Amino acid sequence: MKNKLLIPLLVAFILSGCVKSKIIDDINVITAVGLDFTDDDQLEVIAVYEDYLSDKTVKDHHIEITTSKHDDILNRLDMKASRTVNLGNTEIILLGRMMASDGIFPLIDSLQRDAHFGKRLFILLADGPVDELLKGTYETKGVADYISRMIRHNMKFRNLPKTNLQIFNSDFFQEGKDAYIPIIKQVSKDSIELDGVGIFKGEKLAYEIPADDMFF
Amino acid sequence: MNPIPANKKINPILVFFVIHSSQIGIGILGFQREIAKKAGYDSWMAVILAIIGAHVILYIMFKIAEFGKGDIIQTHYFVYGKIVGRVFNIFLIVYFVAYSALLIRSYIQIIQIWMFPDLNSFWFALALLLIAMYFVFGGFRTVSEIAFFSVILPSYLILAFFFAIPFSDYTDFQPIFSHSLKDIMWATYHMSITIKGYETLLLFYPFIEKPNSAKKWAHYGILFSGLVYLFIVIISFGYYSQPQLQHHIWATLSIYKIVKLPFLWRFDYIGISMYSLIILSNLCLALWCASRIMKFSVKLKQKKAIVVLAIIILTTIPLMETNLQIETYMTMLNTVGFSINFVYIPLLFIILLIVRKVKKA
Repeated sequence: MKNKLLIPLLVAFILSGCVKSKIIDDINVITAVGLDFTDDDQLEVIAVYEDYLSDKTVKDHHIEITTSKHDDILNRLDMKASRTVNLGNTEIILLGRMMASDGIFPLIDSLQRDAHFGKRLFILLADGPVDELLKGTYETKGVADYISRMIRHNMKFRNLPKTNLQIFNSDFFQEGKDAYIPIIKQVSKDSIELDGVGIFKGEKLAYEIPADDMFF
Repeated sequence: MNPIPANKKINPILVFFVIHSSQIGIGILGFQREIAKKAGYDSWMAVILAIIGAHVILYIMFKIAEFGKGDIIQTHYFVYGKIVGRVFNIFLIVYFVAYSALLIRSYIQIIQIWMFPDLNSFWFALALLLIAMYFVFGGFRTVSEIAFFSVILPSYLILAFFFAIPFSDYTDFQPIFSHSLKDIMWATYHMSITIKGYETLLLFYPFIEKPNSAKKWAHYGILFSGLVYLFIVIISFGYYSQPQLQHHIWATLSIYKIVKLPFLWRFDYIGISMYSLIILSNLCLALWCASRIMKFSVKLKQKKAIVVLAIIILTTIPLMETNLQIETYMTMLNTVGFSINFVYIPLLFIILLIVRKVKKA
């Protein structure tokens, strides 16, 4: 009995382990994603992944695609990437103004459906072109780290209301409540500033509170 | 039926763990959406009502076991006679087999969606079933000990829920009593489905060492599951807004996504892996129950029965492919499970009382 069981046991355990593995050195870990629409109604995506250099600094690399709104973005990103793109560690999602005012329900819906995304990522609105903001060089730890640290300490000690994907989603769907989104602006090639809070009406950006009136 | 030898019986305290672990299964991962569909923020009351209902049913089950012939198999023969009783027993086998298949398939579905999209459901089911068979071969003592570990080992998962509190808004619960009684009863129906599983008591009753002192442990088991469910409901209703909850199929698992520790950024993978132990203990119990009934109704040795049942379960699992198929199957089975617990068992109790009177006279 024991010997007869051994073979199916081995086969079952070995074969059920035959799944796609994700070795950290062999994937492109995306840390920031920028999304906007172009003037001719195409979707513009810029994904940032990091390269850890030997002097403890981080170098950002970008994958840019412009594609139809109905396309499979992940597939398109993979076509331009050296290694498999993985979205599990996305820290910020940066929206352009055109996308925010056009309606973001498709984005929110897929973000909460996809089991890869964490609930602590920040959804932000970019004042100005998304790609230029993400392509800047800010300090030494990469753009995603810089922006998320900035949002976090402003949330904790200053005037930015608490936000992340979960709070945004919760407010977005709740009756009698509207979702809000921090606005960031590129000042120069190496600095960003927090520039207010945008408020959604339904799925569209409807109102903006400038930085001067953010005190609460 | 031969009496169970003393070395195969279990300590009354273990009844607490068997009952509690049988109630916490695949349902706990996503019951919030179902109960909140109609009763909204008031559905925490449904948890309390369902627990009270479960206590009543448990009381009736103990009475059936005392007045009948120990377990439900012999009670069926006693009440309906040899042939009809066998039909009822075979129906119970089908129920437990179907339940095991659903358990494995739903768990595989969760792994496929959250961790490994290309996991082969057949081979994983085989691996899980082989472990379960190994435990069930050890008899009910081993099954009850697995139940003990499936409560103790994953118990730290409860700490993860506290991470959700800073992102929660508990003012949403007000105003309470804003839903009609009909809506709350609907939620209670769904909650009763989630906490079922304790009907297995009717099968392992003869294995309890001192049945009378086990009564209180069984009731504590249900009470403790009730507290766990209530805790999760309160955490998740504060964490999710009500319309958002309708978008989450596995709301409990989604709460784990907010947990971020310096050494562990995503906790949901730990949570899902840990649930395999909970699923395993449920599977062992269901498999043991089915094989036990088979022993007395088909006249097959229990060990052979386990192998036969495992093969049946294994063949049904790859047949369920799409989400819709699993959902339909689950809804069907839930209705059957609810009818067994809340309609059939009280009915059986009444019939048993009448038959006892008639046979005595």
